[in-house]
Amino acid sequence: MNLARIIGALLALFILSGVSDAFAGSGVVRGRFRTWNKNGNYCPTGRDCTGSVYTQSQYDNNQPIRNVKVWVYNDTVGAPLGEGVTDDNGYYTIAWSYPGSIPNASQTYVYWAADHKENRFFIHYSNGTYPWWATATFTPQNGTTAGSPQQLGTTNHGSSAAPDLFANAYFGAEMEWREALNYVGVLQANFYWLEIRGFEDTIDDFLGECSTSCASGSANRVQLDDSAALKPEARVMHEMGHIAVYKAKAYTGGWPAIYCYPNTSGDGCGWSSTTAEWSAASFNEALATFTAFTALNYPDAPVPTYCNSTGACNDTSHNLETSSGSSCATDDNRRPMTVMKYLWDVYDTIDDGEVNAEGPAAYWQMMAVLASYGSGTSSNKVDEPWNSSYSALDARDGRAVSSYGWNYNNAFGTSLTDARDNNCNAL
Amino acid sequence: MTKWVLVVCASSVLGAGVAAAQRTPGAGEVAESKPIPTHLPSEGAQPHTDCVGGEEDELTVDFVPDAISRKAQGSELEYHVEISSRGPEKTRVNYSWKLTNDLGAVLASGKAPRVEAVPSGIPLTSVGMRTPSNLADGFYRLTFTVAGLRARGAQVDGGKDVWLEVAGGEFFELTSSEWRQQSRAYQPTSTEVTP
Repeated sequence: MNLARIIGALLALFILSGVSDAFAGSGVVRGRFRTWNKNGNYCPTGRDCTGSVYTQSQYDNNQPIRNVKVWVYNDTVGAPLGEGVTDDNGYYTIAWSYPGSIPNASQTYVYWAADHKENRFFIHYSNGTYPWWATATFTPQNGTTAGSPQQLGTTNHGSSAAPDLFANAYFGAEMEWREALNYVGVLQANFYWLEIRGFEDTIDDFLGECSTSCASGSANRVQLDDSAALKPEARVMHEMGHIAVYKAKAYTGGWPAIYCYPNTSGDGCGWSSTTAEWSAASFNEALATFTAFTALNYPDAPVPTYCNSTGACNDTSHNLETSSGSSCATDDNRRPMTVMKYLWDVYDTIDDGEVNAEGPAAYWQMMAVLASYGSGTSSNKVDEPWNSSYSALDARDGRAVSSYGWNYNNAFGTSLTDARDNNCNAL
Repeated sequence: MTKWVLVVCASSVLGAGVAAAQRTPGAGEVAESKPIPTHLPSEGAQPHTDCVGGEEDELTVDFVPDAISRKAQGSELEYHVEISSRGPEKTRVNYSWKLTNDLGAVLASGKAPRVEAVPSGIPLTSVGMRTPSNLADGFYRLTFTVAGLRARGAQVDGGKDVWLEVAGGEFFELTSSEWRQQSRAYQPTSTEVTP
């Protein structure tokens, strides 16, 4: 071997080895994120959980953080080295690169922020910044590939004694999107960039004061109150349901005193699933909740439940499958729980004395029908509760079960009368 | 020995946001500047026009900070808790509480000595909690949960967290956001090697 060849070989070795790392590096990391899930509203062990999406086996243990954005980051670099998303099981595989030696490389980490991979929603602190969750620090291995990635293992956050409230809110919100809203085309098209902030009763410059959480379709915002965590069905999923209703067809909300039944004036009135309400309110709340309990249950579930609780819902007082029937107490036709049972009866495939069974194939119709509502304030129109000049309400029982059924029949040729008759002839 | 300062009601516990804003940023705050993709602005220029509240809680819990008691080994923060029941019926309640640090370790806990009745409209105020007296500077979470039972098996429950910081001999009550941003809660609680 002559001198020139020796020098050439040494030069090639020099370039291909460590020195090349000084100028550019790349690799692939793989791992998994989980959080300690303590969300209530699961189907408890011992109950017939046929058709239940969320069972007790997923409660009080580590569960995957699904379909969220993930970054490879190094504080000294001050910029992401790579980014990706987790899959349905919480796994991520992210390619990273850096045009030189990574400074302070051993302090690199991967983190996720509560930002849905399709930009459907993101969860913020009350001040508008992101909560985030990191792996332990590591040194990126140059030259790793998708086929042979650097394995970071499974990173868990939270514990049974101290579950992370923001991560648990993401768990519930992601389920709401993936198991319910995702199946509706008009929401696929329109439901983006929802900003969710928590957990405070009052957040100035956001939605202000709402001590039981709230949603604003026009602002595309959800605010979670300081006790909203861990009861997804009545809070984060329910409020996302309100946004979905608005995204399906924008309407003019802010109905004055709509929660003050039987009064037509007043302020600060709340609502309960078991108290009589003006029907525009009871239907709107029930429809928002419908998206939550259909995220948690498929239509063949024999014991679907709804409750405002951090635990499993009681299967006697909170069973949606127990139809209200036709023998009803005064004002039963005004109770949100009655309307929830009506909507479940329209959807479910369980034979409980009514013929409506739209089932999974027609699930999309139950929300998409809203898009077919005509504009205006007359009967069965989208702003039915308002008078023609939008200066006051003149139909507080409008935009409820009756108009929903009319529009559904008009759009899809299916009468929902049977389910209505089976639930106190809800207004 | 740390000298604890009695500043419960007027400035510290109730003015926690101010205290938090004056503190040196922790690791969590530094990372808030990470360049996460910019989101589109919210659609509405006037939010809150159609804000719809969620279902009202049947049981509500309110914490009332009572006092800081000075002990030889440090100070304790005392709370009393008001449990209120909505609706016409009385509710039989059972409650428990625990104090954890920002990594989830349980430092103290307690529970109701017996089931108690909460009449409608009259808060139960006999519930008291007290933090340990030797809390080091750091971040703590006081979690209170209450389960209730009414006639015909109706199910109600409730709860509340109080987010605390002990710093420089003072107790500060933070919001959940402030607490999480400044504490070590972003760190993993465990890592399993096998992915």
